[in-house]
Amino acid sequence: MLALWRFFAGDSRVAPLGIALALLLATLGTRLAWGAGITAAAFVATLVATLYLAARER
Amino acid sequence: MNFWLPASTAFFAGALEAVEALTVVLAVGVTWGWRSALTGAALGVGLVALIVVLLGPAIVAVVPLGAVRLIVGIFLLLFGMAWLRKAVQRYGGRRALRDESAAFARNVASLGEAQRAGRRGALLAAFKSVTLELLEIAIVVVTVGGSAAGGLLPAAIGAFAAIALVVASGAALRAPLARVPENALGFAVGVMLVSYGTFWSGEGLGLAWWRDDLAIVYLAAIYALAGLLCAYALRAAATQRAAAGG
Repeated sequence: MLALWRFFAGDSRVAPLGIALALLLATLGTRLAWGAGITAAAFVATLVATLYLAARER
Repeated sequence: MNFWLPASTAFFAGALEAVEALTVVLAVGVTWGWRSALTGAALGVGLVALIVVLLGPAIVAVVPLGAVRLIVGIFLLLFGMAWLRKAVQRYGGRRALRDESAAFARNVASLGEAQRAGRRGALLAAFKSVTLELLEIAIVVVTVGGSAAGGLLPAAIGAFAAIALVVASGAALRAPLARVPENALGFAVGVMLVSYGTFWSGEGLGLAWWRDDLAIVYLAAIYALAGLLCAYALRAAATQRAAAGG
């Protein structure tokens, strides 16, 4: 199970947290009717930031 | 009119969905082996065939497509982000090219474990993507075909023709893809998986993407550009550190 999880999440701690935050923002955006454009932008921007922070991890 | 309208609608909708599934199967097949990719795809086809046989036209009401999209999307996001991160780190000089081989060589026991996990992950990625896309095609066939009397058979024929065409194209693409350099392929696969993961998980949460399925194209462009910029930033930081140290 641990090997399978490592395969999906890699050895990054940032990536799963960033993905969870992005999904939370998308959920809030759709539930609170922020507008599709703003919600999509917040969702994608969080994922891009996650990629950057995860790539900087050792 | 009675034949061509549902057949062509189902053909184009089916082709679009089938290309999405094919991308994931090709990505998994080229990087983790065709056995895992094709087994996962075959299991997906089998499951959807069983669901269609059992439910028939009731599939539209019974299958929670939003939940399926969300689960598959999260899975692809995790899987793709790990892949893209490694490729960016390699381009950025933070991780040696093909360093996994060296790490694996140091520990033969963990090699076996990691490879087994990898194969299972690859199989699951292919399985989930094929299942999701074929379910969507089945729902399109029932919806389009059910809207006119006698439209179900033409819609099914149109969808089958689209799937056959896409599968044939995929078979032709196997050889050229195998010649792409390993890290470039890893980068492209990561970009595609994260793009699909973003698209599907967003749809699963009720997010309406601008230009619908075309969103995958601009999402892929955004992630490719972001990945390259991240690699550039990593490389610049490493050069600066080296200059300060030396």
